[in-house]
Amino acid sequence: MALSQDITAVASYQAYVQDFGEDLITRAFYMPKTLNYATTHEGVKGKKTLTRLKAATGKAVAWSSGFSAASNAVEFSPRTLEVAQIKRDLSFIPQEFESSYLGKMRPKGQNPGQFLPFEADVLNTILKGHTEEYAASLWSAVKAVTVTPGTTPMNQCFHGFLKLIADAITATTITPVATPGGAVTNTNAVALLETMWNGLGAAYKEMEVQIFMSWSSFQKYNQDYRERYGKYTRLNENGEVKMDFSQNATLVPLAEMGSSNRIVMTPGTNLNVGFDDFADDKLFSMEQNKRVIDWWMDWDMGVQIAQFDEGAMVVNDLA
Amino acid sequence: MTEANKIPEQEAAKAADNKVLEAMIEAQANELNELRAALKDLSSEVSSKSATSSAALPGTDPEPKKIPVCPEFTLGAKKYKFNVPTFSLNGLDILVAEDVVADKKLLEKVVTEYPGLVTAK
Repeated sequence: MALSQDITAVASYQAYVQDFGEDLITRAFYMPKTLNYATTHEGVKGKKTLTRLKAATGKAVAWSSGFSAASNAVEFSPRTLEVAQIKRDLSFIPQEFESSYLGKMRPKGQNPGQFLPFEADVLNTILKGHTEEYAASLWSAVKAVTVTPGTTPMNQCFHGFLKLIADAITATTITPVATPGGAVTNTNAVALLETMWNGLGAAYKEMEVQIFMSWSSFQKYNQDYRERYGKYTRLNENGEVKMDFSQNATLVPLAEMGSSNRIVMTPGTNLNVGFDDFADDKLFSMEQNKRVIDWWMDWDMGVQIAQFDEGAMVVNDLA
Repeated sequence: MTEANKIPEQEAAKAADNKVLEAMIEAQANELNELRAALKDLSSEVSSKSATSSAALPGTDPEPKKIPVCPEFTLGAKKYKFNVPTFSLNGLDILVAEDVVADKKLLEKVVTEYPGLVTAK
């Protein structure tokens, strides 16, 4: 069984007279901001079929006394939200810390041996790192051709939003807007978003729309706007950057989109995320196995986009 | 009439009844076969009709869908391939890459102004 602790770097420091800080230093982590906007579905075990209802236009006709029902006035079509089963296993031998300076953080005595130095901090940091990886998977995951239980990484267990969009472009379900110059830059970002806005359905222009992008694209939009108009972007009451011409469209920079150049304009609720239980991936189960402490968590997750057509989503052509 | 005379008379009547019954059975069997044949015709007609109607789902294009293509083209001495089957330059009009390859002016515009749409080969 592989151990989850690597104490190589702290193992040789105990022979010196020196002070050791009692706090851990860890880097900052980001949270899945997408979930603030997306529609979440709990209790999904396997697949959940979301049904799309589409009402046809042009079915109302001039009055006559006869009755003639309109054909094909509504259409129902399924969208399948499928979740993948994922796990995280960790193993620690707390007594091994005795051979490092961190051994001082353990209480007196060797039995029982379950006291892991900084246990709460370690757990907290693992959870934050997990959340970050989880958040990135929502967008960047690409399902492997063969998912091997116990081996395939989380971001290869299901298709994330970016892959679903790429597939929809390939299938001509959605038509991307070409990015001038072939890259989002600090001289074309404003023009690109304004062109994309043309493609958004008229009804969506009247509701809350999010424009999801990487932090890099967000910065370029702001730089372009500042240079182009000699002023800063407009902010709404929540401090979010509001798009010109719109009433409720805001730019949402997402750390979880990583370095993607894709810009996605859609109501956030069009993005669907499935879980079995929302708390599944926030709780570790723990068990002491002789001298080893095992931590594990199992959870289901998957994403789907409810609607691509009828101007519900506009994207640019870059991946 | 003696008992001896009665028996052959009864047998003759029975034989006549049997003949009538056989004729009736044969007629019913023929009728059944005709019905079976008619049912067969009807079922093949129904199944062919349901296959047609299932292909035409409400709201979908009844014509067979074109398989999306990302075509290759040559401009100058260079070969390129479209990365997307359809795209829009203004957010409104949809351009089909397969049609665009016939328009040299538009291809030049794509390659110089929107290089993200193509990959040089």
